[in-house]
Amino acid sequence: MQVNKKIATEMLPSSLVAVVIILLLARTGTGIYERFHPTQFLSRDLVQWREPLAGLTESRTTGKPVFIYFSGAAYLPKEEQYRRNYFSDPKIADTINAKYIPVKVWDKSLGDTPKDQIVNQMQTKYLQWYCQPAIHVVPVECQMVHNERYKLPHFYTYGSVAPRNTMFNFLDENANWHPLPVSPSQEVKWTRIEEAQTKANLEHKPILYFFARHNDEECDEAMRELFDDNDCEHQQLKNYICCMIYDHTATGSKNSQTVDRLIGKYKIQTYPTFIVDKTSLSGQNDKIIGYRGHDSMEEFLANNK
Amino acid sequence: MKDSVINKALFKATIEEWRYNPVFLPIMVLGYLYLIGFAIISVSFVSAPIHEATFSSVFYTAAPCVALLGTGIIGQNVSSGILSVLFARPIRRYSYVLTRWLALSVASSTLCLILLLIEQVAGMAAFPGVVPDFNTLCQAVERVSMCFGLSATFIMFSSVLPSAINLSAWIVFCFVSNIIVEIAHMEPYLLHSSYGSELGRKLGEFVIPICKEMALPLQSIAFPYIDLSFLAHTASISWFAVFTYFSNLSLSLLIAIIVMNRKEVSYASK
Repeated sequence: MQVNKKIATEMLPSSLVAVVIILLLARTGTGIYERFHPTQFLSRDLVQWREPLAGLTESRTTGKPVFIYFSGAAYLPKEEQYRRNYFSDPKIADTINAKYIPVKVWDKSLGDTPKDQIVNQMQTKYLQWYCQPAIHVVPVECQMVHNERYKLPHFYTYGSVAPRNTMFNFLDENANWHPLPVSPSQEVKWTRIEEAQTKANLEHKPILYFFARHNDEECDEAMRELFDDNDCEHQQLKNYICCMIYDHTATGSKNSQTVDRLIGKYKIQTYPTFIVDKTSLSGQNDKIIGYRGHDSMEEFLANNK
Repeated sequence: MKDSVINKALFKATIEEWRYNPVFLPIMVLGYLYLIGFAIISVSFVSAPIHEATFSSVFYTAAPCVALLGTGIIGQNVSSGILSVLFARPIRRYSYVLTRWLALSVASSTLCLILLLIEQVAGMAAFPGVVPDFNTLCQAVERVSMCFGLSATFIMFSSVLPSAINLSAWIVFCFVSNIIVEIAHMEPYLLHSSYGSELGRKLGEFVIPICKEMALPLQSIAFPYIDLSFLAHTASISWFAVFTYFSNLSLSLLIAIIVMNRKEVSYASK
């Protein structure tokens, strides 16, 4: 009798075994069905995605930044999570549609569309984070230049998808984001154009505007010699609120309104041009047109601080 | 012999075990306080006004709660010799496994729901316009479903592995499944981009299809929960996802029961 009782404690609950078998069968059956009818089980996507080329053209016309979504195969877990958590949410989709030009790269329906040249170009140019899905915001100014000059805002999550509020914050923060060129030197503290005047008033310093453009030898030389080494200019530059402004019209892009306003205000025609704005100190503005070498720049900076 | 599937005395004893364990209690309390602090800070100190009060994801709240309580949930009893005493009594082993699972699920769900409540209150206090909505209800149900699903996974690992190794096993499992998912998502980059090398492309052609097939099943074991967002966002409910969740849950429990039935827990085995 003792032996029988011992065996009874080690039995398998037959109802659980039955449930497991039924669920496995149901799982297999529904799995096969949904494999052949995948689209009806995918979350709806409320974002009005553009084709890559059309999106870039529209962005340059409207001035809105491009919201590039580098996606993968639609049925993969993270793709579905992005669609379900973000792109099917009316509030998020409305924000993207209103403030950005949404462009989806690679996937059109189930990730098996052939790859065309523009998609490849966009991947090479903008996909700074290789794993997909990933989102990059590319403002108009950055579209025609090499992206290494800028740290583009990107949205990527490893593992589980971030809550919707994170996406809301990302969208709010980057809708009016303007590129801040990356200086070769980490010593110089560059300030955003929008914040420069406020900072100058607070710290009682003049603003040094460095107007430049891409693919210009003189600008590149100035950049290299002034901001790339640790010479005395860095000490001088600490007395200024430094602002780097790139004119993108030379590369076929459109400038932001702020950049255009400053170019108009200081009547910039030649690059590079250095402007010292002393409005915060009630002094006279000064400018130096073209790059005249190390020594003259040092003198210019010393005289205007 | 008691015939009920869930043993009430064992259920109470499991809760008491958490309450009075001198090692686990401080870790659990500190871990939970950290989660509460994180929830309040996430909701209250944000750069922009929040759109909904739920700032944390299902995974990042449910998983720590289950992990805090479920580490060594069975393995500790095996290692410490408690099972030898316990199974000397006429208790069915499946009843033990199911009771431990239910206690872990209920306790972790309660902690998760309290966290959600704290998040909501903090969110409403910081941003009065933010009120609980349908998403909040979905969050609550999803968190509870993850607690029940993940508890089954923890029970399964704990029945197989001694002491508190089930936590490490689950972390490794999550990591591996995430790596596989990431590789599966790299298809456009590895196979169809001029970026990748020829070697990468050849390797990708072999590895990516396997990873794509493994991605969903592994994720459903590592992060099991019922996704309710189909109620708002999907054209049709995916019954495959629902059956996968319940199938994994029941299968994990069945495996745990089989392992426990085969375990030698007499004093002679030590």
